[in-house]
Amino acid sequence: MELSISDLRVCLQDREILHGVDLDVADGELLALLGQSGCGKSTLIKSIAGLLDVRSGEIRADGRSLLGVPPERRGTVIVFQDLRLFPHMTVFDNIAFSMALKKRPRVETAQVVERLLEDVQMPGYGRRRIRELSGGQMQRVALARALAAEPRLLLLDEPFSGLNEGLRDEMGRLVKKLHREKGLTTVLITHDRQEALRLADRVALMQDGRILQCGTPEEIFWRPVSREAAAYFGRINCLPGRAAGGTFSCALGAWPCALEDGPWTAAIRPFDMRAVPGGSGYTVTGIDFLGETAELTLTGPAGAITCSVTAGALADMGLAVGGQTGLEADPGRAVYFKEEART
Amino acid sequence: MRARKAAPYLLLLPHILLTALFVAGLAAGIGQSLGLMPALGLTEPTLDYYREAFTRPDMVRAVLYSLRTAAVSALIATAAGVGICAVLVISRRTHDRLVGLVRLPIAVPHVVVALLTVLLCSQNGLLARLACLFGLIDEQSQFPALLYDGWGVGVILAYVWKETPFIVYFVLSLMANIDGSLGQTAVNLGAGPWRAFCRVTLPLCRDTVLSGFLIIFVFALGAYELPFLLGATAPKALPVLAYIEYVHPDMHHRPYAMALNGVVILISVLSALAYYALMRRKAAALRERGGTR
Repeated sequence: MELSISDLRVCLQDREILHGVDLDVADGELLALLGQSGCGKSTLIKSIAGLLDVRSGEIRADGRSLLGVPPERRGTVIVFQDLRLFPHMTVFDNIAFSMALKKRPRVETAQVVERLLEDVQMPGYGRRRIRELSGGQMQRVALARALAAEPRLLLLDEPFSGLNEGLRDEMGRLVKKLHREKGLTTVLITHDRQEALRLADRVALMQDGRILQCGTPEEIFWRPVSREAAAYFGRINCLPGRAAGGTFSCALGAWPCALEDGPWTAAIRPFDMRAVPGGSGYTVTGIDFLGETAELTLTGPAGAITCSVTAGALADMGLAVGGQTGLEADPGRAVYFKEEART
Repeated sequence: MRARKAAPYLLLLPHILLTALFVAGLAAGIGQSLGLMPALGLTEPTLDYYREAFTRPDMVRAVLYSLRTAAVSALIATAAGVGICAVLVISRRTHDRLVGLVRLPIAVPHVVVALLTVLLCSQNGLLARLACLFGLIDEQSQFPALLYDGWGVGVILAYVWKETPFIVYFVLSLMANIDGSLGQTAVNLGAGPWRAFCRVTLPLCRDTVLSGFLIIFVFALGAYELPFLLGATAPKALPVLAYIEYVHPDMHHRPYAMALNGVVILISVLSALAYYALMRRKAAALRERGGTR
C-alpha cells in the first residue's frame, strides 16, 4: 500500500499535536518514524489507523482518501507499545481474532495461526495463556496477531521499547525479515536512532508535531537539513564562520567550499575531528571513556570542541586532562547551515 | 515519631468504630433471634423462633417473592445499566453532562422513589392518564395494575429506576478504560465498535458487572421500604414480615422478627461469599492484565 499524508493537523483535547505533517511511504517500504517522546509519533499513526479524529489535511492509501473510512476497514494494523494482548484469550485466540471476525473456516484459521507462530519462532504456543508468556514472547504474539489481520499497512508503535538490548536486536531482525518476506508496507515508530538507521529503508525525523526531514538513513545522517536534525544523531560541533569567494573561514581554519558569500555555520561530527598530539592551541578539558571509543573535549579558539577517538588511539596519543594538543577537521564531511546576516 | 506511628490507626478509627457498631448490632440481632433477651426474661438459647419462622404458611411465598423481586429488578437494572454504559462508551460520551444526569437517581431516597412510582404507575397516575388521553385505553381503571400486585411489578420498576444508575456508576469508568485500550485494539484488528465491545470489552468487565448485580440484589433483598410501600398485602416480602413483627407492640415478637431477619442475613451472606469469590478472581485477573503491559 502506498501511503500519502499531506498537511495533516490533529488535535487532542483542543491542543494541536500535529502541525501540518507531510509524509509519503512507498509500497513495500519500511519507514522509521524517529523522534523524542511526545513529539506526535503515536498520534500520527493512530490518525492513520483512524483511531483519532483529524482536524484537517489528507491521508491517502493508493490514491484513495482514508478520511471517513471506519478504522476497522482501513487495513492499517497497529502493534501497540503496550501490546494490548487480550488477557481473557489464549495465544491462539489472540492471533485468530481477526480471522474469527472474517468467519474464516476453523481448519484454515488453525493452519494460518500455526504458520504465524512458526514465523515468530513460537511453534506450539497456541494453547498458552497470555499470563504464561515472557515479555519477548508477548511481543511476538502481538506481531503475529497483527500479521494475521493481513494488514495493508503495518504500524509498529515502539513495540520493542520494553525489551532488553539483546531481545530488541532479535525482534528488530525478525520484523525486518517478516517485512521483506511478506512484502508489507511498514511504519516503525522508535526513539532509538540506531534502530531506525539499522532497520529502515527511509527515516522520517519528527519533532514537535512536524516532520523535520525524511530520507534514507545515509541521507539523514550525512546531510541533515537543520541543526535540530543533525543534533538528533548525536553530538555535533557547530563552527560559526563566513564564506567568501569560495572559501569558508572559521576559528578552526579556512577551506574551499561551494557556498554563497555570507555567514554560515559548519557542523562537523566528533569523529570527523582529529586531535593532533604534539600540536598546540587546544587544551584537553575532558575525557569521557566509553569503552571502544572515547570523547575528548578540547577547548581553544573555536570554543569547546568534541572529538571522538578509538580507545586504542587515545592510549597511543598519551593525552591527559590539562594537556595541550592541536586540532584538525575533515572539511569534506562538514554540513553548512545558513545564518541570518547581521546588519 | 510516636504520633506518626499512630496516624494510620487514628485514620482507621472511624471505620473500626462503624464496623464494631455493625458487628455489635448483628450479634445482638442474632442473639435475639436465638431467644436471648434478658430484659424480657428470655435467657435460654432456642431455635424455636427459627422453627416457627420456617414453618409459617406464608414463609415460602415470602422468600420466593423477595428473591423474585430482588433478582428480576437486579437483572433488569444490570442489563439496562450495561446497555447504557455500552452506548456511552461506544459513542465516546463517558465524560458528557448526560452521564451526570443518568446518575441523578442514585441520590434520590427510596421513599421518594416509591412516591414517584405511585404518581407515575398507579391507575390514577400520569401514565394511566396519558394512555387515556391518547385513546390507548377508555378508562384509567383499564390501565394494568402495576402496584400492590402479587408479582411485585411496581416494586421491580422502582428498584430498576433506582438501581440502573448505580450500575452505570459502578461499571462505566472501568468499561471506558478497557474499551479505550483493548476495545480500540479490537477495532484496529477489524472489529466494528459493537463487536469489539461484545467480544473484548464486555467479557473483561464481566466480573465487575456481576459484582454490581450482587450488590443491588442483596440490597433489594434486604430493604423493606419499597416492598412495604408498593407491595401487595400478600405475599409480603421477607423484610416487610420482619418489620411488621419488629414493630409489634408485644415485645415477645422481637426474637421472631430477628429470626426472619436471620433468614435474610443467611441469603445475604451467601451472596456476599459469592461476591468475595468474584473479587478475588477479579484481583487475580487485574494482576494478570498488568502483566501483559
